[in-house]
Amino acid sequence: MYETIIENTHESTVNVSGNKITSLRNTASHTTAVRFYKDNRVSVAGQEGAADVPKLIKRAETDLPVCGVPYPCMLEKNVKHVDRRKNPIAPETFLDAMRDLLDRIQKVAPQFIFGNKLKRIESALSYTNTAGADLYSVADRLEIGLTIKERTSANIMDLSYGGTLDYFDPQAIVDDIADLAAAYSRRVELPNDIPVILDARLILSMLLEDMIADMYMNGSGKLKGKLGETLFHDKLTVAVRYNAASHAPRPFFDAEGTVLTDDGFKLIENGKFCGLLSTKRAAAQFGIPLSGGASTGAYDAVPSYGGNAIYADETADSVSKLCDRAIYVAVASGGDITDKGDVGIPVQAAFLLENGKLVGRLPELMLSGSIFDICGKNFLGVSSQTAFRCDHAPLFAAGMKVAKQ
Amino acid sequence: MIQFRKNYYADVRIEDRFETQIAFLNENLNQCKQTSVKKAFLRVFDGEMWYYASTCDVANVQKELDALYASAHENKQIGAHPLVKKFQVNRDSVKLYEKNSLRDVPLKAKIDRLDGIRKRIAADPYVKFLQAVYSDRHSVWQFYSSLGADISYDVQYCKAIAAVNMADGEKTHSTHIVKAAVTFDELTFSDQAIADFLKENDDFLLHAEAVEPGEYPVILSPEAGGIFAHESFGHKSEADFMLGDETMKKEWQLGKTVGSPLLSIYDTGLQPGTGYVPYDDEGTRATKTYLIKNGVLTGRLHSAETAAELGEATTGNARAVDCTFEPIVRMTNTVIESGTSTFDELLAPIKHGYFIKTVQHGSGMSTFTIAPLLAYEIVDGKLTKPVKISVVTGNVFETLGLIDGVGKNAVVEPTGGNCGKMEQFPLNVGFGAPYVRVAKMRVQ
Repeated sequence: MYETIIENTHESTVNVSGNKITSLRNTASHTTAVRFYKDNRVSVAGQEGAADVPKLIKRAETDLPVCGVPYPCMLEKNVKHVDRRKNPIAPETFLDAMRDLLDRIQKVAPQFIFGNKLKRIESALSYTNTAGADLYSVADRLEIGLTIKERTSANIMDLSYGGTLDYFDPQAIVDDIADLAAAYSRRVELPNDIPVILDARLILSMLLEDMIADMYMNGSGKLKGKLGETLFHDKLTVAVRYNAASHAPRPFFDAEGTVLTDDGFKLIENGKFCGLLSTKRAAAQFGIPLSGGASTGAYDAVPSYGGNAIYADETADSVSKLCDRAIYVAVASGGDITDKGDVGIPVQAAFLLENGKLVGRLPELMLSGSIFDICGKNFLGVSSQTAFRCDHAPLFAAGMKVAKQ
Repeated sequence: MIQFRKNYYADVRIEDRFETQIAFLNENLNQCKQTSVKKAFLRVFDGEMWYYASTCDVANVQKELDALYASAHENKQIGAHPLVKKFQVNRDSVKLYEKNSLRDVPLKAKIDRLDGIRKRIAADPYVKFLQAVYSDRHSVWQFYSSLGADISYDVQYCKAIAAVNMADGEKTHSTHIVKAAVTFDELTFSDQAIADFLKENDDFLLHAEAVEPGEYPVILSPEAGGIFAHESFGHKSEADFMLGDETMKKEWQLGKTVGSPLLSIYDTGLQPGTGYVPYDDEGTRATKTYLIKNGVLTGRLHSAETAAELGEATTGNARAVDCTFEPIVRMTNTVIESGTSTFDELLAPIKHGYFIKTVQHGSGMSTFTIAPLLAYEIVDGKLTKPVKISVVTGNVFETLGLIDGVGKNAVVEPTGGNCGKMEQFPLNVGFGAPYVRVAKMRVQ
């Protein structure tokens, strides 16, 4: 029994340095991995570039005695193809479109220097197995990832702007940058006792490791022994799911060929810690439900836990409905959490947000608090309608301890 | 034989990479693979823009190169371009690992080595969850340029890490033990080393207390000091951030005092290990570059592009994660140079402060952060109880100026490191330091 996973990615990347486009990189990547199962073990053989699948099957089978990893053979039979390509920019016009975008951005924000990368990516992923599964997902996207530095600043970087989009609206991007530039130029005092709004992934990443089945079932982590308990706010629900509404399309199946649904597998439901992140191996070993969301770090690795398909359910359709005034965290690097759950997050760039709009720049901050309070009594909600037109990453609003750096 | 065209600059970098990755999740073998891949990265520069391609079809590199030429524009003056004039033309072969290559170590020996380490750690009653990973790499590089460069060299390193979660009732603690080496024979953990690791971490689990947040004097271990140098100053030394930025050029003029007179930091690709880069990805030979000498800004890390813009010499720091990406300015081994104090001499004047022994991770912008694992309180010049610290932070320049003690015997940490910069992660780097005392840091 075996699985075959094939990924094809075409990528065009322009590099921006000192406000100029300095390079164009076009790459076409093709990877093939075969996972061969026998006697409850799996061995993986992979190839970059053109691949001979029968040879890979043979190699995986031959390697099994030495490299075989204990893994149950639980092959599903789903058949589904999804094409979410929207062609936000045609490949042949990509370079000119990015030059034009950069020119327009500089006109509205001449006080800044922009850098880093703009990408157009088309990616197709196929999963088949000998049980009859045939899953295929193809999508394209733009990745806007700009570093922003004020011309008079001595920092390497003061801000960043970006998003993953399945559409291209240059005016919306230009308007976002104009808003950011205007807010950055206005320094405001740090108000007392207002909540914080930040990227939901930053907070969720601090909890997810403790929800890994292997960690939890061995009596380890901050959440040990607490499965089934209500630990968090009753408005908080976190699930492994396929986010069909997202403008950053991901495949609808995971690295094990498990089809993800929009409803998903709940890890936290209305505040109750109710599920563990599991792979097929962990589900079989511990007798627990399969969560889905498995991923492989390298294309030819055995599946393990992933964090990409995990979302906190939105509780409001705009950030202004979560709180009319908040600290919006624009850049936060280097935060961590102790084993007791005490969080420390240095914030290098933050803004005062009022009624969903950026008002002005706050000083550098340090956020802290207990993760159980941040996701519990101090939790206000989640929304992906942000202060920006072209950034749809879900935002998490909560009360935290805030101090100037 | 690659055919380069006149009136363009071009280079081709080819890597033949062998890698192993073995992982245990508790007692279960979780990953086990050895891969070999040969890939090429091609660049063409026409004086206005760079054009790049990456391919696994190394036999047809010429076809890819010709396609790049078709996108670029011929430039009869390319040889006089300031950037092109910075490229070195080296012809050399430096192969250090043909006789003791990691490719030749049987996979079973690697699995058994890691399993042996894992079993000794898992025997501790407080260990509840353990991820043990062995990884290695042996790469053979070839570099050719239209100027006539022809270089080949090899690089290898291996690493073992065990990430551990411990628990005793409600008390929990995460830690790790890690070692990197150049040959497989060197990658061992003695029974004493494992026993000491477990004893110290058991004690931390059972007795560590939370700190009172505030500003304190801090002593950084060689591991923490190396990460501090890398995160606080190393990235700021990467000269690509100065491109097109007149403010930064003025702010970072050589000769400016940027830190304590006790402080010297250098970067070099000459040291074997995870930061070994005898030639960078533009064919520039490795050097030892002082970034700070006695507190004064002395040098920067360069690619040909940044060296040309700033009118300085190349330094051998143009590196890419692999042949999927173009080289950008990166560190190699970044080290705080030894001073003259013993550890006890650094401790002695501290009334109340902290010692950071091991580190989870670090990052650096205008403020740097270090997330400690093992840390101890210092009271009246002595190490006392273990403490839990989530992050240590500080303004970079302020903190460099607050270094008031530098120990003897800098250690280039045999742990290796993986550095990320924008889209390129992980890049193998090394770092090192002696014990370093900072008069004041924010402890959270």
